[in-house]
This record gives sequence, structure tokens and C-alpha cells, in this order.
Amino acid sequence: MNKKENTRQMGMGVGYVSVMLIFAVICLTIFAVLSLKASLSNESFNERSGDFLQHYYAADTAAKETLSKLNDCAFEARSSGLFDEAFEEAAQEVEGVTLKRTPAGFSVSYSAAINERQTLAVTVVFDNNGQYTIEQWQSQDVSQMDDNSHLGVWDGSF
Amino acid sequence: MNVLKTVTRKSRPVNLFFTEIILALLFFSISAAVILKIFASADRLSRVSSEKENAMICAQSIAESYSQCGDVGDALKTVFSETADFAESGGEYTLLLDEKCKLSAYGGVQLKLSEDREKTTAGVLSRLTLTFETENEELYSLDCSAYIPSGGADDE
Repeated sequence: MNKKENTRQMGMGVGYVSVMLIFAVICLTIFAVLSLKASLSNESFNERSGDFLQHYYAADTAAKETLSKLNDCAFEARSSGLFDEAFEEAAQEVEGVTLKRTPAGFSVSYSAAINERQTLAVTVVFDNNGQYTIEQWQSQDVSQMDDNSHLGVWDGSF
Repeated sequence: MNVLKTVTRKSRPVNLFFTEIILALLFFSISAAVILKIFASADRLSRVSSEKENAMICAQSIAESYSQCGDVGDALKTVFSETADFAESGGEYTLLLDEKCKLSAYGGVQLKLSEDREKTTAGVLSRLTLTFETENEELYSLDCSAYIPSGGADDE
């Protein structure tokens, strides 16, 4: 009787080690997979963020090229003596530009696409001396550019 | 005979226990090898991701600074250090950075900057290409630009 009790108290029975080991392996596997998942998710986020940055600066470069062309037009128009007529004529030839006369001079608007959803909207005001001031240089949603677009919200009518 | 039977009966649970331990260790070592490999690749991915993130932040800082001043040297001084001297060779700059994109003589990240200037009638339109490399592999690349107006090309 005493011998039997001693045997029971001495150590673990068959199976306990396997159960504990399986539990440990499952825990380690879960942690490893979660760790890998977090790294992959971080990598994917960085990838998208990097792509957006590249697209943004590509649009920024395109917008600066247009600004350079417009400033060249303003410089030549100023040199010609008849700024208003010469600038209006020259600026209309620049692609994608909307020209509006204001009491102070000209307001020129254009945009450069960043991606399918966003665009870089630029508004530059040229005064009668041919000097320009940047009024707007910011990224906007494409839907913001279109006045007719609206959210599909219920208006209360049946 | 009786003595032999008793010995066999007594040693069976012990043998079973040791067999189980051996099998468990075998299973654990195989599993641990696979799990450690997953942990190692997660760590490597995380390091690369962190390096890329720092490179992106650094590139954006340089791009913004460059678009304001239109000069690579000034942009680098604004981002890194006012006192540092950045040597140019053939219109290109090469900098050694550490993983956190700080200037370091023994850095593992190489930043290459190449500038292209175009004189227009009324200003200078310049383009800058930033390339971050680590172990001869491209980590991140960004093209940016600056437009600095002047009275005209003759003013330069």
C-alpha cells in the first residue's frame, strides 16, 4: 500500500508532458503567426504610404511645371507691354488651365492627379505686374472637385 | 520467473514515460525550429519595414525643404545638421546614414541625391532624385522638384 502511494506521489503520469507540450507549441505558434501578421501588415501600410508619397510628389512636380510655364507667360506678357491681353492669350494655351479675370489681375486654376481618388488643386493669382501669389496648393478628394457629387444620405422623403 | 515478471511490470511505466519524453522533445524541437524561423522572418521584415519608414520620413523632410529653397546643400543642412559639410561630386551627393536616418560614418544606409536644373524664361525649375540604398538594394526612392522664380533667365 505504501509502495503504491509512493509511486503516485513520485512523478507525473504518462500523457501530462504531451498535453503541456502541445499547449506550449500551440501558444508559441499563435504568437509567431501574430508577430508575422503584424510585420506584414506594417510592411503593407508602409508600401502604400511610400507609393502615395511618390504619387504626391509626381503631381507636385507636374503642378510646378505648369506654374513655371504660366510664370514664363507672365514674364513675356509683361515684357510685351500689354500684359492683360498677352497673358490671357498665352495662358489659355497652357494645358488644363482655367483662367478667370479678377479686379486685381488673373486667377488661374489647375489640378494634377495624385491617384484615382485624390488630386492636387492649385490656384495662382497673377497681378497686373505679372507677379504671382499662390492662393491654393492642396490635395483634395476628386469628389470635392465635382459640385454635383454628394453622399448617398437619405433626405427624409419616401 | 516471478521475480522477472515483477521487474518487467515495474519498469513499464518508467519506460513509457521516457519514451513519451523523447517523442515530446523530438516534436518540440521540430516545432521550435519552424516557430523560430517564423519569429526570425517577422523580425527581419519588421527591421526592413522600420528602415523604410525612416527613409520615407527623411525623404519627405528633404523634399519639403528642397521645394522651399531649391538648393540641395541647404535642404540637407536643414534636415541633418547646420554645421555638417556635404560634399558634391558631379552634381551628386552621397551620404551615409544609420538605420534611423541620422548621419553616421559607419551607417548601413546610403542616400544618393542627384539634381537636374532647368533654366526657364522666368525662373529655375529643378528636379531632385533621392535614393536610399541598403546592401546595394534600393530601399526607397523619391522624385521631387522646386521652382524658384526670378526676374528672368538673364538674372542668373
